[in-house]
Amino acid sequence: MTEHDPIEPDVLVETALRLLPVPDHDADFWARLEQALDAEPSKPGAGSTTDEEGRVASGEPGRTSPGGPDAAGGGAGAGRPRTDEVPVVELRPTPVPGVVPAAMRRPSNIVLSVLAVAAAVAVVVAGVSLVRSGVDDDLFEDETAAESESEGEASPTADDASTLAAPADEPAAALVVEWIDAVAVGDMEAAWELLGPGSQTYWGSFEDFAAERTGFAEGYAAWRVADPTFLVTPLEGPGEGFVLVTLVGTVPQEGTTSHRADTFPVRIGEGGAVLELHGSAGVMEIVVPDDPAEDGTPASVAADEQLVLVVPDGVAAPVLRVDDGPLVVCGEDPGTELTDLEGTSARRCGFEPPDGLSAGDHVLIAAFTSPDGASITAHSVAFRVG
Amino acid sequence: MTGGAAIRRAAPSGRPVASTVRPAAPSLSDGARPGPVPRMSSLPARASDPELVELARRGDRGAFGELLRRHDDRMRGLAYRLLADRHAMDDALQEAYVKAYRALDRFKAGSSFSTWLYRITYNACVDELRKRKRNPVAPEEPADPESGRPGPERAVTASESVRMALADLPESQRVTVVLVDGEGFDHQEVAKILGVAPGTVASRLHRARAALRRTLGEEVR
Repeated sequence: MTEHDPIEPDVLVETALRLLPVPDHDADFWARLEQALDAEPSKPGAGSTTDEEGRVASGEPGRTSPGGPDAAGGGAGAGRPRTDEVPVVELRPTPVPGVVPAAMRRPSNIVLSVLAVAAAVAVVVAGVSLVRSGVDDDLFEDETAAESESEGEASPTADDASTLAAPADEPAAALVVEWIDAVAVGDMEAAWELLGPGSQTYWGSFEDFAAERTGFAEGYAAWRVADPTFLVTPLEGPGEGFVLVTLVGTVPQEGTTSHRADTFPVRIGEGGAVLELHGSAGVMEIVVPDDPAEDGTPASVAADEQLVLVVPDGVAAPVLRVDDGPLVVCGEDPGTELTDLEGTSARRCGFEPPDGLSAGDHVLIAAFTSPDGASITAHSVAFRVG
Repeated sequence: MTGGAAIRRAAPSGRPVASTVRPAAPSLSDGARPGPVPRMSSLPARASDPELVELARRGDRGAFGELLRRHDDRMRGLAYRLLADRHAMDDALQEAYVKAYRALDRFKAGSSFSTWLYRITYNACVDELRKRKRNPVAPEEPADPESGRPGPERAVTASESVRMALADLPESQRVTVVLVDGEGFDHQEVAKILGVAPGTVASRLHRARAALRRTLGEEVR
């Protein structure tokens, strides 16, 4: 099958998808949406920094939550022109003939506790700093042993003593550890104050941020007992500088263990360091390597396979780093290519490490900033070669 | 096209990293409260999508609502298959629809509104998935085939198998197979929606179908 061939139908898969129903919205969905739109400027797009595909630039409240207009509009409605003169149809789930007949509605499922899988990486300090907390020199734990040992364990709680320690002389890593500790013990005020302006704007208000207390604690507290490897990647850009702090390790959570790599962007400015975990310069898709499997198994990549990202048009060229290797600028450094994706408003970044990829576990870190360098998107994904 | 200036490697010595962490000043939102909303529509009968987009761009919320009504079934299909959770689906679609409203001025004339909205919805779902990867929640009960509501286990045995098979797919393969085999798009259309090359669509579809066939076997025959 090539991109030029028509897609042949797959009767079995089509039949399977037809077996699945799709639920309707919650009863208050349309009312909430109506409220959210009410909080928007009356002329669509006015004052918005949302791009044509709905990606919201940094500095814009981009979160729309069931919390209503506060979250959706992020306060944009203050002093906004009223829309009373504009004919508005009620956004209710009237029984319109849908594009997909009711009988054809099918749902799917994913298990929502998919965790990013982190493979371990050989660590050598080279140009950029790479350090590990703790004293164990074995950088990569035996996965099978780690899984069997902690199988059935519950997620760590605030009562668990934290063994998470930032490497010395790495203030950005120390900030990340401080933030994880804060959310783990439920000190949301402290966690809020460690966030940068982009993240705070994303949440809209402290109350909305604090409402996620349980989720944050469950999601991040696991790092406190994971003894992760720290990958610290300093960046410079047209605006304030950023440092990417990536934690790589085997994390006990939800009764199982998972290998995981989380990247925390830290903004470094004259006022100090702040965490920009939630603000975003746009949507980045890591095409190769694929996502980890549901059980946490990292995706496999061939040794000579190109690593591929898709980033929005108009943002800074993405940068990539594999393990503790050099940071490369896509489209500029050897082994990289940055091309337009025809028919889309996105660009494709391909990267083949000049020396190839060795067999074993790796982690890819990728990031890009908005053109002015004010906001950043950063992700990491673990993968396996051979 | 020109991208912004690339971010760079830090100089060997590195930019001096602040030795102390100073908290940023909180910027609490004052959040708008909804006022009364007039409820009426002055839409032309059987208006086309482009006509409705034009009306919506001029501020006609009724036109925007009609666009959503026309396409909501398919957006729900995509969002639910990707997220497998009704609340997550609603959160993602709330975000997608608000973003679409904000971005209407930049919708390219002559483009397909459906494709554009699919892409926005997909982006919102990706955001929602990433949010939930970091803050996992228990998956909800499987939906009943008739009502779409949580139902008795015996009613969902077959669909649950399919659900689990889809769940085992990586997100990128899942969305591809849902768009092709669930919604009937071709390579080019899916490539536009996902912002990837058509060849990537083909390889993902191949892998997704193969995995589903392996998992499902005779179950859906």
